[in-house]
Amino acid sequence: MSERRSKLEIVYDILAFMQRKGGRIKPTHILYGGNLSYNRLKEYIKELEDKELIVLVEDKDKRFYQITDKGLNLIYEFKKIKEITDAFGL
Amino acid sequence: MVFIFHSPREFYTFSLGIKVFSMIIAAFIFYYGLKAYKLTKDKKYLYFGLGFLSLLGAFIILGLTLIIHTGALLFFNFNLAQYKDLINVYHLIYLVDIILVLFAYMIFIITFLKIQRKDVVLMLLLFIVALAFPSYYWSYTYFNLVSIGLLGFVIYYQGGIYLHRKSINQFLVLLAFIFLAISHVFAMLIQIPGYSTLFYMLQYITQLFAFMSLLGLLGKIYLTVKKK
Repeated sequence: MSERRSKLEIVYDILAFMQRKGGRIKPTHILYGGNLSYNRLKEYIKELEDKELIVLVEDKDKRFYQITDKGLNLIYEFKKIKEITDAFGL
Repeated sequence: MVFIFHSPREFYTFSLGIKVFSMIIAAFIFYYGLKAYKLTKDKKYLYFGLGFLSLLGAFIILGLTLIIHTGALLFFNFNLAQYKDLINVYHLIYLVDIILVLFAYMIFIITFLKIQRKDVVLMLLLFIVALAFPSYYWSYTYFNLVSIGLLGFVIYYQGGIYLHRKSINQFLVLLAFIFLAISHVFAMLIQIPGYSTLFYMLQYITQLFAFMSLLGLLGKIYLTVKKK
């Protein structure tokens, strides 16, 4: 059985990491939470932005990614989905 | 053969209740499968959801037929089965039901084996249609045997996962598929003269246990996630 993370797990890990860090995080710091290469992380970030789960904000000339309410709700849904799909061995 | 004619009348509402319960659980799992697919675009979640949608479709079709058939019988004392044309409609419904149930089991296998190539998926589903027609023309037993075979594979896969991870959630899923397979065994035995009522009831009770296991899984997940 493969121990490689699924796409769902990666998305969940990124969002949950952001939530643990207070919901706002520097772009470079997402790399630690996502545990991905820079190029792959960029793809995931774009997808999360397109789905309005995170948003890029500027504060005092610094850029942050902030988790949206939609993103927070999805963390809760993600947890349930992950548990269900794990239970079925997906 | 249309099996609702072979069901004891006094258990029509009993089996209908179990069908409705199974529909609700299947709908919930379909919803989560679809949601996982929308979020990830990973086809395995789509196939997984479609498997439960297929089961849901089968339950709805048979459930509606049971409602119409039972309603006419109980409220108007009118047996629709006496009309030859209607029997043909019932036969068609039965064929659709068989195809949807076998589709669901095959889709589970496709999902668990992580088959993503469209041509292979299409071929396997066409193979299921090919299996469904003999079930329809030959016997109800054939349909149940094919179902048990397909579910046997699912149980083997889920059993392996349970032995590897040993979690309650995986045990509940394994249990659900085992109960589903047993319900097909009982469905086959309905044709034994003198025992049809007993096996009819056992078939539905085991189906109820299968979906109760899945309800247990959903309930446990809902409570656990909420607590975190």
